[in-house]
Amino acid sequence: MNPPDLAYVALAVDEPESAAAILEKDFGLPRQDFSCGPSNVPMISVGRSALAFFQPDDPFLGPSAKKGVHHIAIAAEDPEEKARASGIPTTGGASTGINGKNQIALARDATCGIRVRYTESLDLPAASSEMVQRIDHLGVASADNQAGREVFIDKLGCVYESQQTDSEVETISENFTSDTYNYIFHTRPSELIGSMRVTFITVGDTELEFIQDLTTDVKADEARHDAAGTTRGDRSAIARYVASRGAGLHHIAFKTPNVEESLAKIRAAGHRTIDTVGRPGSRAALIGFMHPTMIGGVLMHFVARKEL
Amino acid sequence: MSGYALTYIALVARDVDAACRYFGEALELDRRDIDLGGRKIPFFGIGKAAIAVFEPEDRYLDEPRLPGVHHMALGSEDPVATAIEHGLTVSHEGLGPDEKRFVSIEKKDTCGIRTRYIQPLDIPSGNGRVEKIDHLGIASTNIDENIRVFVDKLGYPLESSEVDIEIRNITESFISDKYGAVYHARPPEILGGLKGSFINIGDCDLEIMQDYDPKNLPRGELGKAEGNTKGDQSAIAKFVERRGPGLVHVAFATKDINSVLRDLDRDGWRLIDTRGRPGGRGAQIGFVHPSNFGGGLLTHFVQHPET
Repeated sequence: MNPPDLAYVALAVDEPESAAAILEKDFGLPRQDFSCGPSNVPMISVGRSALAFFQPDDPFLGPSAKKGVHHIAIAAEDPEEKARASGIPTTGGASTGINGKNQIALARDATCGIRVRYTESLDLPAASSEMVQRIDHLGVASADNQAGREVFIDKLGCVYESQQTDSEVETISENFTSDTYNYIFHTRPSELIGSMRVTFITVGDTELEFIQDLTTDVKADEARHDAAGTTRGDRSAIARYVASRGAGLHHIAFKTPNVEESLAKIRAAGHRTIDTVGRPGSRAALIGFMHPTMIGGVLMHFVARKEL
Repeated sequence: MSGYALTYIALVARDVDAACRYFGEALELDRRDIDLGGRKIPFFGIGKAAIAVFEPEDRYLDEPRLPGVHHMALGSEDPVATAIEHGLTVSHEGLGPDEKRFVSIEKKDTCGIRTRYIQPLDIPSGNGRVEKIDHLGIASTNIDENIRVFVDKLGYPLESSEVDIEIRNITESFISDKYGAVYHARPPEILGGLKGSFINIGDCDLEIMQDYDPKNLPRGELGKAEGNTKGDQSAIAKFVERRGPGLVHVAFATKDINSVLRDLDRDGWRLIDTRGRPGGRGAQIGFVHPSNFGGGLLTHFVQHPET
C-alpha cells in the first residue's frame, strides 16, 4: 500500500477571493478556480498539493466551521472504499465535492480532532515559486500525540517522520558587587516554563506537526500576536487553542529558502508579520510567522531548513 | 568612633507581647523594663545597644507611630549641645526612659531617618541567639544625600558600597530524534536591582538602600515566596511610596543563621526565608515575617562570612 497523498488543504477565510489573490500575487503560486456545489472555490497549487479557499459558512464545510485550517483531503481512487478500509467511521456518506469529485469525510472525533476527508484526485499540476517551495507542515494542536500516531500511522497508513521535545528554561541569577567584599554570584534552580512534544507524520509531500503541551500545570499566557514568539508563547498558544476550540488543525507552514527575506517581502507587499527575523523552530529550522489577518483568519508561517 | 554610638532602637509593634516573647524567649535576649513617665517599657540588651518595644499609642513617640522601626537613639552626655554642634534642628526635647535627657532631630535633617540623641542608658546584654544589631535597613531615594549627612556632616565612617542585580536567563532547547539538538539562549534580562551603602554607627551599621532601576515597577508581594533581590527592590520601592524614605528594618547578627531559622520555624514563628540566602556584603540573610508582631515590623538575620 502506497502512503497517502494530500489532495488539498481547505482553509476557511473571510474572503476566499481576496485570500487566493494575495497568495497568487505575493507567494507567486498558480491559481485555478473550481465549482463546488453553488460556490466558486479558488485553489492555489503549492508543491504536490493545493490550498482550497472557502467561506466559513460554506455548506461544503459542514456545520459550525470557524476561520482557520478546516480540513485535509487525502487523494483516493475510491474514497468510500478507502474510508471503509481505514476502519474509521464516516460523517454522512459519499458526496460530490470540488470539481464534481467524489469525496467522504471521516468522523472528526475519531481522528484526534483533525477533519480528514478522502477525495478523488483533482489532478492539479505541481507548483512552486521563488518564495514558497511547498507546504512544510500543517500544525496540529494536539491533546495526545500518541493517539495521533495510532490514527494516522496505524489506521491511515501515513509514515512517521520524527519527534522532538522543545523546552524553555528560566534561570535567575543574583549578583552582589561590593567595593569592599568579594563578588557574590548566586544562581537559583532553573525552572521549566514551557515544554512541548512535537511529532511529525508524513502526508503526501508535507507533514502533520502534532504539538502537545507538556506543561499543563503552567498557566497559559495572554494571547500575544504583536511580539516575536518563544517556545513559552507557542505552548501557551497551543494550550489556549485546545482549551477553546478543541484539538485539531491549527496553522500552516510554507517551506521557503530564506525566512527573513520572505518576511520582508510580505511586509513590503503591505502585510503585517509577527516575526521580522527567523527564530529557532522545530526540525532545526528557522521559522517566522505572518500575521493571521493577512488572509483573513489563518495562522501561517515560513520555514527554512535542511532536509535530511 | 565619637561618643554618638547607637544606644537603642525604638520598635513599634501592634502585638507587644508577641514581640517581647520573640526577643526575650526566642532570641534569648536579656530584658529590663525601664520607667518612662510612670509606665514600664521593655528593653532588650543586644551587643552594645538595646531594643525598645512600644505600643503604637505611646506618646513618647512622635506621629506617625506606624508599626516598624520608629527611631534610632544615639548616645550623648549632652544631647542639646551635640545637636547644635552638628547644625541639626531640634524638634523637641524632654526626659525619656530612666529620666535621661533626649532631643529629637527634625527628620528632614537626617534623610527621613528619625534620630534622637539621648544620655546613655545602662542596659546589660548577655549571650542571646544573636550577637548584636548588625544594621538598620533604611529606604532612600538618594544615597548620596545620606552619605553627605551621616558621613560628611556627622562624621560616621562609610563602611562599603555595593550594587545588587537580579537577571533572568532563558534557554530554549529543541531536541529531535532525527534533526539533532538545537539550543538557543536569549539575552539576559535585568529584573531589578538595589544600590546599597553601609555607614558605621558604633557596633551597628546603617544599610542605606535605593531602588536601582526605577523603570522596573514593583512586583510580587512580601512573604508570598522566599525572598530575592527583585523582591527586596520592590519592598524598598513600596516602602518609599507609602511612608517616604527612612527606617525600614532591623537586622541581627548571628553565627549560625540556619540553626536560628530552623528553631524559630520549629517553634511556630512565621518566616519569609527558612534558610539563609545571599545578601549584601557576602553575607547570608533570612527574613522573619512581620505578621508575627501584628504586621509592619520587619526583621532579619545576618551571618557574615568567616574572616
